[in-house]
Amino acid sequence: MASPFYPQARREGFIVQPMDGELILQDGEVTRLLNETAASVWQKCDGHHSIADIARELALDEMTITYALAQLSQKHLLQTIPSRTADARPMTRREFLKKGAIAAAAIPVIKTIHLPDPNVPVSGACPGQSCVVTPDCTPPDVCISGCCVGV
Amino acid sequence: MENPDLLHWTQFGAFTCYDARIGVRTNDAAVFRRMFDSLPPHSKVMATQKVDWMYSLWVAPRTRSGRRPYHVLYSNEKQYARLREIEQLVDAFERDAQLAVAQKARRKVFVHAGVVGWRGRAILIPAKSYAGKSTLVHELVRAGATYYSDEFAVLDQQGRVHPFARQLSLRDEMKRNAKLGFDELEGKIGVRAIPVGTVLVTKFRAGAKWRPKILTPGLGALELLANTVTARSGQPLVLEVLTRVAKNARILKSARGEAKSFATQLLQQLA
Repeated sequence: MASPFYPQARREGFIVQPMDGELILQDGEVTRLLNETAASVWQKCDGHHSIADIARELALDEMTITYALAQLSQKHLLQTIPSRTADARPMTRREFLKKGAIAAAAIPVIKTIHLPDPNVPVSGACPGQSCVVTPDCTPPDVCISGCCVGV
Repeated sequence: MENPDLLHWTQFGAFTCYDARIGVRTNDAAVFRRMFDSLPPHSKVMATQKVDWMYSLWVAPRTRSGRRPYHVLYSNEKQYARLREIEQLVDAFERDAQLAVAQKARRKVFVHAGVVGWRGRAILIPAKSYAGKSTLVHELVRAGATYYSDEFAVLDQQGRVHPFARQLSLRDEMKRNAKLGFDELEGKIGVRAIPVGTVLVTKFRAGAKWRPKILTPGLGALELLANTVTARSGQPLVLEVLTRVAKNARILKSARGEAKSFATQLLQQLA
């Protein structure tokens, strides 16, 4: 019999901002938002709680916890990686929804954004014509960062 | 590349805007006056020479052949633009100085957003450049809202928004920018900081109907963060401020149709 898995969250190098149950984790150029379910699972990952323990404490089923851990692991938010089952492939969101009868709001969701470059031009910041794509510019200029630039 | 510090500058001035300290220098008195007329809104002239950012505009003398020479704008030590038209360089300085203020401001968080005031609270429309913020802001002001900014929401630690009322930058059919004078605004301009009441996450789509979905504070904060100038800075202030705003405001997301009819509809809904 396989020994129980005690997941441990990666907590170093983040700015952590709680948001009424949701959690924002900022790591350099990448920021992730964990919804309430994903956030509560991540917070329980202290290396001392097994999947069964977390499920019991959060009043969720083990499948939901396993799915949440797979999501957290995929986003590099766990120090320890959950062992894979026989088919060695993490459940997709669709498979998870098919298998479990869970309310949509309780599905563990992690949203990721890449933060903007601070040097993007201010509206109208171009010395010449502004543009969205190169055809907006008068040839032979090309569109770079919203500005028509001569080449 | 030429080091601008080695050039002979005859005019120097400095200003502060939301505690960012910006220097300006040139070798032409008339151009210097034009640059000072183009400072970011709410700038104050200061005496110190210690600045966070330096703009240098080198006006080249006429060539013997009669050809118009290239003039150069430097942003710190880097050549920012090299053009024959001084006016275009002054415009470039004006826009880039606003971005420099957004990056260097102390105790304030600058979010790319259109902002208007309505019934004592702000409506924030976070969006990237060229997303139609100015057009929507213009129509909201014409419909009775108070103008705060068409480019930056300046947020303080209490989550209130301060004015950054520059001349509206509207694009014509040729996608050229044209400034709208304050006298042509057909509305009031905000002067005091107000709390944020609503954040609109919206994009124009021809024929779209406004069917807003309410976002969670977390998703709202993420939308604001994606448009924050200093998002990558890692300053805890940024997340603290955005969290406060997102917790206290309604975050609405939907596509919208034409700005004019949408502006009237929105203000009626928020009345």
